[in-house]
Amino acid sequence: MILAQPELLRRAAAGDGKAFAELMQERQHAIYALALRMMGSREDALDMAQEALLRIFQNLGAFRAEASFSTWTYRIAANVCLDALRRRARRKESSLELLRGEGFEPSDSAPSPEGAALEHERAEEMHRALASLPPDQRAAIVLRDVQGLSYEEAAEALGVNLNTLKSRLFRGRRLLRGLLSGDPEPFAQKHGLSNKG
Amino acid sequence: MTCRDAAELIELYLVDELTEEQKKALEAHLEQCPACTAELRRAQALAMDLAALNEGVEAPPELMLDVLAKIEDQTPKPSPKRRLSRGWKIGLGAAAAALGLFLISGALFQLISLGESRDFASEQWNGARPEAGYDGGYSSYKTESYGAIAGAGKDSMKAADLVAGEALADSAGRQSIAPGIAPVPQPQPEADGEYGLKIIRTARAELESDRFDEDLAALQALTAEHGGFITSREIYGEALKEGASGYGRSLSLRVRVPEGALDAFLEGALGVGVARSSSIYEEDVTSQYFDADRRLKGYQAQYDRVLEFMQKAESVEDLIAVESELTRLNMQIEALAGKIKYLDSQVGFSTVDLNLREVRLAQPVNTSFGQKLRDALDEGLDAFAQGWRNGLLGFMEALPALVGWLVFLGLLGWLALGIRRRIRRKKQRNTAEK
Repeated sequence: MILAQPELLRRAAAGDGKAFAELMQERQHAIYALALRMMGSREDALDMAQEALLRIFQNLGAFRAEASFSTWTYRIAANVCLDALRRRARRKESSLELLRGEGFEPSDSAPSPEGAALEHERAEEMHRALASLPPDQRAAIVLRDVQGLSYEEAAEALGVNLNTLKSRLFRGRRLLRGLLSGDPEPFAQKHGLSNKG
Repeated sequence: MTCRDAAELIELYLVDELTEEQKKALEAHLEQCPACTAELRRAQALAMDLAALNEGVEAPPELMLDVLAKIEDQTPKPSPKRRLSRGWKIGLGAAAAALGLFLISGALFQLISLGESRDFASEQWNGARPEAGYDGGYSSYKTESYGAIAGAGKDSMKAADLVAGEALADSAGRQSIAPGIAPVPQPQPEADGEYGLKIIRTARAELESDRFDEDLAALQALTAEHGGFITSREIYGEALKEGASGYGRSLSLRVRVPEGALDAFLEGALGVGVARSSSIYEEDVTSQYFDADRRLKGYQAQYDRVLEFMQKAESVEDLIAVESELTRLNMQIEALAGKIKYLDSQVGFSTVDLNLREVRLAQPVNTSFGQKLRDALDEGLDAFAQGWRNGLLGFMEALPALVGWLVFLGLLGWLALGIRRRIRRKKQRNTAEK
């Protein structure tokens, strides 16, 4: 029943959906978790995770064995999320309301595995603060600090060099601390959002 | 070292980018500065909290099921790529045409209106409504997972037109979920008697309001009254101010109400502010539901059989094989149960998207022609006055520079005149000497 990863990879790349499901059995949770923190709501996270999994499936043939499979899948998932966030940013101007965490609620109040995690006030607060970071910085923090990738892996997953990653982490963490202490001002000023609708 | 320097170093310390020297300097500062020490502690606590944030987060079972269903959908098609690229071509052509039209109409609009238009939103609704970019994005985004909704979303909506009871029968094509996995032969869905019709109803409404805050509160109260709850609320834009220009705020509210209360809720919502449009979509998921339920029962039966077999297993290999089969079946059962639960929640609670736009004066669309004439004249006068004001402002803005240039040019001219006069005098003197 349990096949070695290379064999599963080969079968999945040949179009075997069952092999793919098994191959991604563990990975899908990480991808979903990434999407959840990137997108903010459970519904969007599901859509994005689905899109990411489909893309991974379609591109399995292009995966090179010398890269880490986990980093590679993260890279695809992060790209899917960032693309979606960019589209969303073009559609709506990001609002100060959202920034301050007002009017943002986790999308679904039905009990769910992550609902239990969100019950803790602190976790919910962090989730909100994360959702209001600029996407690039959010991605860096989610990959490195939440999902626990190494600096090198996170940089590779985002397709940037190590210094860029570190500077995003650096700025993102500082913003996050500012947001969590209830002071969104540095962020608003930094992005000139304070007087635009 | 100042605390400012220390703050920079703390961040660098956290990304492991400090030289030994810097580390020592930072430590020395931290020893005597409780504030920076606290900041470092806060940063470390944040790192720990972040690391714990996704603990226990698991992808819901429908994720992989939907992916597999899509994979199955895609594979049998002989050349989906070519079809897609043709679709793209048509899409791109249409987009280019739309862009051209948009640019031309934009230019015309610019020419016609001197200043600014006052009630941009309500004007849009009086005329034909262009396909709104934001809505369009949403529905095309949804195309993949919910064909029926997307199909309905593309139909242009007329103001205050209630499209009810139009079931879009696209979902029937999506009933086969990962047949590759299914070991149980799939019976054809029979009549819906066993479950009744499973229909997901969604609705949307566009409203305008000149009392934004009150109407927002009214919508929230209405939601609670009908036993619903708000799943997302976004407000963007700035509040309208007396005498100032701007487009006002926009609220987009996503609400889930019990299916039975949908009609009453929608009716109530349309009474808040002035309704511009509303619609109800229905998606029949009976076959999906049926399919999932049947397969769930099949798996459960199989699970019981394997369990029975396990009691009789003799060798360790048999036991291992049975174990892994049980694990696999259990996974399928949980996935299907999750899918059914998800469908139940979608059927039981309708999703309603409400958009509320803040305008200066919310009024019904069908005003009399005379009123429209007066409004147009009002707006024209306003625009005219605004144009003059803008002109004057522009002039005042340019004035200092204008004066500066005049002075400069005057000086230049004066100098030139002086030089010419001197030259002339010299010439006169020369001729006189001769």
